[in-house]
Amino acid sequence: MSISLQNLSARYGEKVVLNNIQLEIPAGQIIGYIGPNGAGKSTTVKILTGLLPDFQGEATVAGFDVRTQPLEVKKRIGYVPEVAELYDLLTPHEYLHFVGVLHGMPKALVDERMIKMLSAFGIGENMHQRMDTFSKGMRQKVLLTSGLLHNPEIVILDEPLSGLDANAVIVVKQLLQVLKAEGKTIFYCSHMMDVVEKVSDRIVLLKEGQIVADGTIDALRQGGNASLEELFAQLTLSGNADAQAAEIAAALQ
Amino acid sequence: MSRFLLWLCMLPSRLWASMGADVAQLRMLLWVRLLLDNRRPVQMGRSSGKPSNYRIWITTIVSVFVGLLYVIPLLAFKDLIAGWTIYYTAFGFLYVFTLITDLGHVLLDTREKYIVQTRPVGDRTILLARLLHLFSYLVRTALPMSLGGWAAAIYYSGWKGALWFPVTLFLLLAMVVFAVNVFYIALLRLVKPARFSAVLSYFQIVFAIILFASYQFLPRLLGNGEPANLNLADYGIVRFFPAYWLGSTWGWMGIPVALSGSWITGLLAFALPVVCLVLLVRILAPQFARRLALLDSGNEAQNAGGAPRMETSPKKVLGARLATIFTRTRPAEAGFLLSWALTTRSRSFRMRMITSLAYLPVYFVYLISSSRDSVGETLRDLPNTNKFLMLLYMVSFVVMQSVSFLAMSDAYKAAWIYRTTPVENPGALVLGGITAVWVKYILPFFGAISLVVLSVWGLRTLPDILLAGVNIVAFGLMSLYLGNFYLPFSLPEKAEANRGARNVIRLFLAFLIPVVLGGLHYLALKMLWLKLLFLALSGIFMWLIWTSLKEKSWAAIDKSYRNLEV
Repeated sequence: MSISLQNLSARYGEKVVLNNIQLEIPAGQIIGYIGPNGAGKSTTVKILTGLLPDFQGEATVAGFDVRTQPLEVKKRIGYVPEVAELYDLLTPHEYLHFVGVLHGMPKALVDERMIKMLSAFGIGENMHQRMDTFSKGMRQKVLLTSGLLHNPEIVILDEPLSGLDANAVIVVKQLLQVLKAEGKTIFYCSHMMDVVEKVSDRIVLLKEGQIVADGTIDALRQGGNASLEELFAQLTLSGNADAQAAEIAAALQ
Repeated sequence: MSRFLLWLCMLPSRLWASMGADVAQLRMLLWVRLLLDNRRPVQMGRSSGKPSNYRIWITTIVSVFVGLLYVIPLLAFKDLIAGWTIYYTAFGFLYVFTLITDLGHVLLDTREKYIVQTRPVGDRTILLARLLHLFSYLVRTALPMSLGGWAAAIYYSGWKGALWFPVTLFLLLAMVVFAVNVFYIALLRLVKPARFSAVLSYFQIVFAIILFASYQFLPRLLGNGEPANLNLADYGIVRFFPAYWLGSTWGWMGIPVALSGSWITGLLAFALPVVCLVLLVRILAPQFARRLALLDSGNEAQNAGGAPRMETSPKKVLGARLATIFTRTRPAEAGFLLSWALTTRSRSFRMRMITSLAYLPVYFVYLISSSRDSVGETLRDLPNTNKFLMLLYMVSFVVMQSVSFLAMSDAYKAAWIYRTTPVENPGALVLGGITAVWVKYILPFFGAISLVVLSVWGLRTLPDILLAGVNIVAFGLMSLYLGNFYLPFSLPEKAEANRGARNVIRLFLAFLIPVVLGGLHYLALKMLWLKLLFLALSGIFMWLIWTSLKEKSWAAIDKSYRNLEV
């Protein structure tokens, strides 16, 4: 298994954020990991990336225990966080070199890959400009490059399309298919249901720290033709969406 | 205080309404500006510091004390006209600096453009809000700053002085506002918007150092009794200075004037502010507004579409070359390269570091200057003393500060990258980072100090410079070991304030260890063999602590961060 979570639980103080998660993800799958705000998606990602060592249960990535072999895990994963936090006083060239060195990559290889990837993203010309002048989309492209630079086995993406323009979104969606064809596992967290529906082989829906649905989009539809957005609302929305919208509009009267 | 200022500004609300302003909007705009002023951190030249709810009160109290400092010449000089001339010079000079640095924050804040100008608010309301805000600023800074002078005026000239002083203060402020406008227009004309805030920051540093130096030296210079006998009749050139023009008006209040022509200089004191105000209203203010609008649109152009402004040449390989010299492992290299780039570009780091370095010579001159001897005598005696040790070891304080400066950043959240990459020993990474800072800032500074020491005290001090250098590095590593072991640029600016007990340890280290090391060094001054022995021991100690730091694990790093949270 590429990713294996057994009885995974986590809490912040008294609040349980993950409750006994069981999940097996084979290599070469794109997993759409979705859920409402506070469902536990980010906590799962933090555990998988080694950012949160304080959890109960077992988590293995690429066959390595996240708790006891975090370095081996980190060598094999590429992570793109939700918020484009990077040292924006650096240029993409400097930042990616920094990341490459942290991964122990040879400089020539970092250079070669960086030039190719940034050029493919359409920001090759901006490689030597400081990122504090970059738009959100440009930063996101640098972040995506930094997550893939070392050619990881497992790619963990948290809202990777955030801030990207329509063309870049098409490119990234296509890229996911190419990476999958190469046998990489992609752990894809997002609130953009239409994208998740299109790119994912399997969808895992989380609510209040528990998995409430797990399967292909067809399996989740159970023979019907509901969209993922509708299924998501059915499974996670406590009230009625129409009623809530009407309530907000009424407040303006 | 904010409420009082708001009340004061809105007293003639009917007048504002008749000028076309929406009074309710004006009140709210002004209130928000005062509120923001109140909550801006107090520290000079830094973006750090806890947001304060009492900033206006703090600045008011500080202003009163600064104002008292200006009064010293009045107490010290027998010639009161000379006293008043120095008073107006000091007040005017420092107030120009204060206004330049403080107004910079307001001018650079272009958020108003998006927050206010997208709402149905008229131009006149916005303009009036800006003017009243400036007025409130003058009231809350210049007024408390002038209290000392006012008291002196009453003391020396009675009720006439009480009435006359505000007139001269008004004249002085008119000149100051004019000078500030000239400065800003020149700045906006000469400096690109991207460099604008950087130039202002350097201005803040110079201002802070002048203020610091004047606090340290002025009372001492005046305390030795010499200047009290200063007679303006011997310095006719002062007739050409506006501060003297203002000072000479005190002749009309019955104070004897040593120089002839005080009527003319007195009239000039009135004429110059009038000319300044006319020039300000007719020429400078419209130019200023135009330039400011250009600054706004310049910022917009940069924000939209990510137009490049700071191109960094790929050929710039000095950092990379130095990294190959000073680092041995990949994590250390990564830390070095990151710090090398960011310590130049991060304004907050640069400001902190340069300010710390700049304070040091001022401290040294203060410490060596004696109240009995003149500056000339002190300098002549210097080669016969061992005060070079003090100068060398004072660098320890900056070294220790550099360690904590490196950990702090506005972009601290970007530090997630360290923890998602396979870095086995973060200690090497931290060491790489601090090495870059020391190579870039401390080494040249220590080199310059060494040159001063060699030129004043001679070549015999060479072994002392070496020993002090090694001791300082060892001390820096020790402070890293005991209290500041954080990843580069990984702590929020405010974290510094939350260190609590750690601060005590750091203070203890800061003062005791360099003194002990310097003391031991002092004992060995006459014995070269002992110095060489100390050098060897210190070198071994440095190597041991370096090796230990290099091996520091993630667990040790996590412990440092946990301590911070407590």
